[in-house]
Amino acid sequence: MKLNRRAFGLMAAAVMTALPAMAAAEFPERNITLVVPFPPGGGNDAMARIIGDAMTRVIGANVVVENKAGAGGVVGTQSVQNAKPDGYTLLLGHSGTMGINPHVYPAATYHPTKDFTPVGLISEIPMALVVNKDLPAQDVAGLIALAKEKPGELSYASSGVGTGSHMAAELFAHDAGIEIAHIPYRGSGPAMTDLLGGRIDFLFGVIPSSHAQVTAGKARALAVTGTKRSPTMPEVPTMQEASVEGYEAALIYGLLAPVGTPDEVVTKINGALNIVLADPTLQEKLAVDGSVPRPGTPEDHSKALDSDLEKWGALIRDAKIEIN
Amino acid sequence: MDLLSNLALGFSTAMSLQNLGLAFIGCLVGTLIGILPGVGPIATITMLLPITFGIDPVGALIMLAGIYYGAQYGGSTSAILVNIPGEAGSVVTALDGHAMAKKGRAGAALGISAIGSFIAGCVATVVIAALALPLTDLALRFGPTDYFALMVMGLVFAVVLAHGSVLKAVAMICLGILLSTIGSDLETGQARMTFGSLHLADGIDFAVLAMGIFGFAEVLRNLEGGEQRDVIKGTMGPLLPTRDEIRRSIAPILRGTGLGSVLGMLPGNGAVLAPFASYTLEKKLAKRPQDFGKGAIEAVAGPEAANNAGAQTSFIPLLTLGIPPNAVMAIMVGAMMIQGIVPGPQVMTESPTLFWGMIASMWIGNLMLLVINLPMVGMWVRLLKVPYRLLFPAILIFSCIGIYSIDNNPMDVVFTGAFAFAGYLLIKMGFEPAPLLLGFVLGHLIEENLRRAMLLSRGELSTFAENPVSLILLIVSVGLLALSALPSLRAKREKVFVED
Amino acid sequence: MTEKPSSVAGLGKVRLSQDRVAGLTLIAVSAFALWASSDLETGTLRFIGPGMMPKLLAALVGVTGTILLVQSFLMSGEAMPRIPLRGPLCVLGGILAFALTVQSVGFAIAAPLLAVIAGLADRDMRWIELLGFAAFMTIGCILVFKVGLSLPIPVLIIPGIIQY
Repeated sequence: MKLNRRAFGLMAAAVMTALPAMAAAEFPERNITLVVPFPPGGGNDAMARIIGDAMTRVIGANVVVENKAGAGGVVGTQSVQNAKPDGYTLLLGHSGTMGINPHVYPAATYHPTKDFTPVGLISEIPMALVVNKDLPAQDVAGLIALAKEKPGELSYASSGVGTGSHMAAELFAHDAGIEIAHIPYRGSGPAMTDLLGGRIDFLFGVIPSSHAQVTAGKARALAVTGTKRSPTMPEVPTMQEASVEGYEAALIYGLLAPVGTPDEVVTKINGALNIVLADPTLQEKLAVDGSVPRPGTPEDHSKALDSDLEKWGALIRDAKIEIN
Repeated sequence: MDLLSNLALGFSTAMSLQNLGLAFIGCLVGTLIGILPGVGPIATITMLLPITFGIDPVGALIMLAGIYYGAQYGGSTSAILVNIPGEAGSVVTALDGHAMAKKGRAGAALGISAIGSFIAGCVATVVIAALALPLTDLALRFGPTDYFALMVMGLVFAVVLAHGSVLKAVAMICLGILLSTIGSDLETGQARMTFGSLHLADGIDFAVLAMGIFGFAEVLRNLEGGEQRDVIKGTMGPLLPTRDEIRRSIAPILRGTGLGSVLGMLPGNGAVLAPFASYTLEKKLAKRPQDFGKGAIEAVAGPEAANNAGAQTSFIPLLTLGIPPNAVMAIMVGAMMIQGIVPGPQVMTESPTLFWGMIASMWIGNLMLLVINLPMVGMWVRLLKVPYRLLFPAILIFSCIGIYSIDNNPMDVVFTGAFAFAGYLLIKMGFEPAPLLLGFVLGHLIEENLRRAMLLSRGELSTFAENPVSLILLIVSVGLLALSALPSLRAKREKVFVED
Repeated sequence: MTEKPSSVAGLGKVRLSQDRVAGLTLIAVSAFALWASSDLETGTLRFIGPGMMPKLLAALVGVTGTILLVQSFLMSGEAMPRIPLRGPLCVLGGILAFALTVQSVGFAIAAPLLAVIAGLADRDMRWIELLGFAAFMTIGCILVFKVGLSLPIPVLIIPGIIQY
């Protein structure tokens, strides 16, 4: 680990000395604010602080996390939308705020790529399909069969309307052609409580904390929602392997700047972001929330945002998910 | 004997010089921020969370726990001194605690709340260490129907809390629940009564409402009083609780501790009810229930102990299941994640030093609070001797900083002002703010659990009767209501002749 | 319920029953809430809609208000106490001034503004004492909250010159 870090430091130094040759020679000359549209203490906040801390060491300025919570992330997101496009105000955006909210909240009038400059993807968070330990279904096919036997009777918990756990389950219902009852909770903790208490049949949760319940024998994982199996629970198949064709649900996380931010600045921040994402210690820290790093260019991020917006929009339309 | 070796491990972790220092700093800083009027534990922890990031996981969590206890105690202090509760629990403390302060016994109220909290903390630590595991599974059986029934019982406590007209108390409870429904609907995401304001989309913040209708409204009322409105009227009694007061408080403290410990370990935020339950119980058991609301020491001692015991046992679901039962614990989960710990049942087996270190530090934190706060009692009481014409601008400045800092949003300050005026008018009309606040706090829990219970039972109301726990709770609630409605009607007549 | 004779503090010579005012206020609040929640779906017992609780509670507030109102005609109750305006106006004005200035100009201006405007509420106010106290409080708070605890509250913002 030590050696790794040194190598990483050297690499970082090399890249950073090469970078000033470009036009944005002066950027950054003061602190960069990274806005988290949620209160301190949540998964978003944790990711922002881990990334911000690492980027501070690479980019040559302090990356300061600022929490601007409110209205499911809309308040903080809009504050960045309206900020000066100079690269000193960045947003931690994810599928919830960028891909789902515009379809769900009338107040979320922004477009992820038209009103923002994508800077770079950070990671994606696949989820796990976890069932109550007493549920007879042993695999995904069994769960689908059970749901078809009793339409509308199986219930799933989500951490709220329009959250990843809600969308992943609706996508499952849509793709598998089943009818299930949605029971929303305030956050993933209370949702898990009722699953463990046996009052809820299943839920989609982030992998590490679900894994913790599974290893303690309090719940069972039937599948993971990514396209690849998770290193945390390698014995659990992906949804596609488990008979739900084409199913993929992972939340993408990335850094965004207001629209109109100069390319040089974006390139520079993107470079710094990719450097920190290559650091194994950082990867380990991100893994606590089930994050799988996805380094890439701003264009990659832009494409991912567009397809995310399209994907969830189509689901919300097709499945006629009742919101508002 | 496993328990003893585990506790030994915990204490050896928590007693390291670094961790003792962190616990001390946490308690001290938590107290200082928490004492800002209207700033309760949640706001304090969110404000101070970043300072723990540079520390190792065990140290960071010990410090956070210290901040939590400190903030809790600090919140009680401002509730007693200036009648501004920072969280639901200190609403009860404000009732009789501030009444005691007005009688010149602020020191006794602060002292008994420190002592009560300490005793509760000691007992709760032992409960957590010895019973956390077996009780976890029991607590998991509590479902939405049971929580709904429990919260309905909480509403009955709100009637007991009021000492005026029962009808007016009921009106205030309904108004409180009504206010709690403002904001995004949990099940549909629909904006309810927000008038398109994004600021209202998350609902009204407890601190904003409480500071407005409790604290600021009190300031407005005091301003009328001419020369008489200095907080402490007449002579001061002895600084700390007298021997007789301590003797009268022992039983309430122990009962409060028991209630708090049981309610706190429910993963669905049962702790919020603890102080109200204790107040109700003490008022029913008291020889002179008519003193409640006018500065009865039992009404400070019991609820404070219940509050602290509940605060502490609410760590049980977090530590044994990785599930946060309330907003404070949710922040703890975030802090654990930043430290690289996945919260869950495995924490106890995989990181025993963390698990037992935290438990041991709870006791140490409570001891430190006692040590930090008892000497400060004198200072706080002297603060009340500042003439009111200077004291109230100071209260306003501190409160506005506190409210602004919760979300760095000046709109919150404006809302507080609006609630202050509304609260002042309500008092003029003979309403009491306490039942409104309790209705507000329980509103969310009642509505969400009712809707969840109905979804799960497919709309069968009989689910409440089929479920033994909810059935018993509902029967007790009805009984309590009947018991309270009658004497409070009588008490009102009495009061009419006693006062004025 | 209450057969207490009216206290001295009537509103001038007109005697308003406290319960009558309270009842009317509750009815007004109830009507307003019913209107504000009228666009929300009530739902059924199985699928309780977002509107059920607000409407139910608003109705209950209205019912309690009506009972109070009726009672006020049947029995003589306490009189509505006088509501002085000086205190609320000054205090609320101070709070508003604070809210308007804290983010744009900073705490160093907002706090003394609040202290001075609110301080006017008190008839025993002495200018020198109040100004001195406001300055003392402001400096003390800056030291404790900004320097000591580094809360993110702006202290003084003069565009182009100071931003602290």
